[in-house]
Amino acid sequence: MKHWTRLLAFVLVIAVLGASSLPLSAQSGAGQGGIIIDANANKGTDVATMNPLLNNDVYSALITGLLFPTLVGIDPEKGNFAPDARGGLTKSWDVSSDGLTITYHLRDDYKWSDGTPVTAQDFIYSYNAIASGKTSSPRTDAVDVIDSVSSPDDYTLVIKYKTPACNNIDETNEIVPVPAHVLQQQIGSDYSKMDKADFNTNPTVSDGVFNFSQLVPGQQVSLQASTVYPDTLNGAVNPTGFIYKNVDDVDVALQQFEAGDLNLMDVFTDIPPQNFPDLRAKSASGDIQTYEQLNNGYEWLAFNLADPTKPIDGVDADGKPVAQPPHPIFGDVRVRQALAKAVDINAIIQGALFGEAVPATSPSIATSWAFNPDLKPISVDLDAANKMLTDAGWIDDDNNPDTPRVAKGAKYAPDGTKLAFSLITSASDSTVVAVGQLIQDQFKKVGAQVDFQAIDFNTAVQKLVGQTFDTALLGWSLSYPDNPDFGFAFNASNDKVGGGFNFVSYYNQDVTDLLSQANNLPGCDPTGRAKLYQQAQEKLVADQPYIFLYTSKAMIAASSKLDGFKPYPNQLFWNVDTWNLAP
Amino acid sequence: MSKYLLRRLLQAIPTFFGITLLSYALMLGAPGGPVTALTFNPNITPQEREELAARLGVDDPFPVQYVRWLLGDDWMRWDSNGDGLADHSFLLALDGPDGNPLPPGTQLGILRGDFGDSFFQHQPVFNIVMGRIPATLELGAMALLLSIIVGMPIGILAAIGRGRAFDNVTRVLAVLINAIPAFWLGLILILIFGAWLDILPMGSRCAVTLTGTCPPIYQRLNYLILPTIVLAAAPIASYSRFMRASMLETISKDYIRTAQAKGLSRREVWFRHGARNALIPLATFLGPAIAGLLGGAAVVETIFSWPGLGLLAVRAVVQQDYPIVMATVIIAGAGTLIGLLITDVLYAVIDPRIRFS
Repeated sequence: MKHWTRLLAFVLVIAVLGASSLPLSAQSGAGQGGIIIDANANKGTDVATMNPLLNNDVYSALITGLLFPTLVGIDPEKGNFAPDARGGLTKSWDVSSDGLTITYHLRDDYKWSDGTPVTAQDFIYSYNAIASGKTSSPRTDAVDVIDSVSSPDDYTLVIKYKTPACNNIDETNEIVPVPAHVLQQQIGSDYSKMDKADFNTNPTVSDGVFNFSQLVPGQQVSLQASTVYPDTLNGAVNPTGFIYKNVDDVDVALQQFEAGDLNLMDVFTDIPPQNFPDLRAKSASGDIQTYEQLNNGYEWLAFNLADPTKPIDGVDADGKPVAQPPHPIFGDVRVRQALAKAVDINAIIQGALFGEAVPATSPSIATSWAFNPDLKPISVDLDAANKMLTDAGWIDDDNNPDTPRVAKGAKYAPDGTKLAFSLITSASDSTVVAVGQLIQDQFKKVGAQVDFQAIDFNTAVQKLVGQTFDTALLGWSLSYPDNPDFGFAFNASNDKVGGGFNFVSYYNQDVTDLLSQANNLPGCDPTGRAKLYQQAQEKLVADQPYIFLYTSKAMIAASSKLDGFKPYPNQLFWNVDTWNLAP
Repeated sequence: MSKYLLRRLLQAIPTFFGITLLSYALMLGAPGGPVTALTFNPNITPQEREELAARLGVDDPFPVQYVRWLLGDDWMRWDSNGDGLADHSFLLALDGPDGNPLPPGTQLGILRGDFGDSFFQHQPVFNIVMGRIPATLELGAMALLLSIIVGMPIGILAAIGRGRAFDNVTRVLAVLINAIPAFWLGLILILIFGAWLDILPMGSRCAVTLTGTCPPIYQRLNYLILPTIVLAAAPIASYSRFMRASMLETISKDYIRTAQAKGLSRREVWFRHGARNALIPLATFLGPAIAGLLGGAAVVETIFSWPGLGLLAVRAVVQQDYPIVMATVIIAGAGTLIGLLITDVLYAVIDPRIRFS
């Protein structure tokens, strides 16, 4: 019994010790401007890499964005590239008359944290590393558009492109300069060693607002204020540091935020929409600060236009379009249009997204400069949907809403075929699963029987790119700054079984031509380009390969003690150097 | 005893390889794959996707992948003239999908201590896993300790007072606690003790600082309290009920009656003769409990942002990060085998009648 008594005493000691040392909160006031503590909600995964050439996820990109400025800065208010914009190494650029060559004039006041000047050679090292094809960089598309790179001097970069595409700067900005002198020491010019370079997890030299401090596996990445960053608004970086703390459950993150253990929840924390009203109320009463924006992307329901049992590429070896064997149901545009009329998007937004989304109208979101205001959201009209399906040869032969329509004179389906098909989505996103269930119910009202399958994300993607699906429910994230080209998902050249993202096998030469004209418009006048993109959007929407569903809203939350929190859309950290945590 | 242990260890070797072979086959048999997740990006071309698959080796047949994981690939594709490109190969293709020679193999295989690199983090798996083990061991050991020192006395006391209030209350509580999901219990405890009462941390292994280093465990026991309670809750309930049943069976034995007839005190009869013998079947629980705690830790680690192995394993399975999955399989497999060995040893320690043979 004496042993038990001792053990119980030990437990009590543990409890007393625990109660006596209370948790530290956000350490505000620990340094000059305090430590920003943001939630990394990447489900237990550490920041994979802090090498800006290799990162392939938004969480790593958030950290590399604070450590490494891009070649060209972005005007946070307008959301476009601007000469001499803060956070960019380029003070101006010249475009040659043929549009093929861009000369970037670099600033001479940027220094790496070890005092070495940031020069054009650092960019060239990054370019060579990606172009070598020996790294796992996902930015090969950025070097593919480049013909040659040269630097007449340390602060001039001359890049010759293969085509005069208007998004050449967008592509080039993916190539972030890294400290060549550091990587040369670690891996020399053997770029095949870059994937395993110590720099990736221990970037001791950087040139951004913050410098790397420490990566603690499973716990956090911490950064400290740079003393050499030249682009500050007030002469010095004010926050003491930045901690990206792993919090693997968003509910716990919200509790920690409200208790002061976190003082920031960025957009990638994915605050659930059901929490928005509560946070809004707290923001209105001054307890916290919030910022809302539209997510930079949209959700869709995709129809496979081709026969899923015989998937073939969209173009032949010469690049010419190949006729696709039609999907027995969705090969007929009238069926796609009818089903679009059966979708009650407002009910979906209210039911699955708690009203925190706006209907999508096209592959361009409302904040895009190429957004087409003439395109209206889909509106539910069951009578019209029923009539269109009947006209398309899909008959309700028993007047029983619980049984699907059957084909009788349909365009591609043999008579007797049921209007029944599968709808796949990723099980990992509970919101999208709820949307799928609502769509299943809504389609049933017009006699379409949906076999809804919420499956593992990888499996869903495999079915998508393998083109063996009927319909699918997922979303696209868009680039920032906005690149309205949606050809990646709708050009015949991207209809490649097993890999291409035109997995719906859509082909419309008019759309392809309009996109090409918009992408390469001489002079790249935004107004002229926007008109071309809008025309392409209209044709695409009329063909209805997707039902464009909605763009969800996102919320960023910050402590009420955080001064300087004034985000723009997709630009949370544009003035992070001025942030201050009041004690 | 050493002969017995050696024999058991030798017997464990084929079992261990059986576990790895089965796990590898199940992992590769799962739909999807790491390349899909790594390349769901419109800017990546199908050709680049194929090249990535070739570089990771995930497009090779199952036996080749397994052998490479086991024995490495430096002998499967090598460079004999020092130009940095492979010029000889065995079992593997010499050229990539683009027709160019692939770099020589550099993996040594787990039998030579090389667990490979994570597909997603591009870091040696050994380093990643070793970085997580201390946290999991810390939490697992505390939970095991708590479940034993709380669960067993409850079971004994319930057996002593069979049918009385304490027995009834603990029985109901055991059913209730077993029925409560760990994630719910975790969230509720965080809400009460972290958010409302503000007396315990809501997560992490230690306080957040810029350096990120954790002080010694005795200075941060408060961070262990909630996750330990959640992880230990179900085992406490199970152990207490099991201990109660075992105790009741023991006290009906003749030698207990003999002890009582000898005039020994109730305390001596119950605890010296009864409890000790009732512990024997409980020892069976302890071995598998080591692996069981690793599994349960995945949920608890998620709720409490505990930087442990369980969470890493779950994430790796979802991402299909094969090298990390297999490293955790090895650890769980080895943990189970060692746990079973400990069980056998414990039997002999607790019950002198059992001898190693």
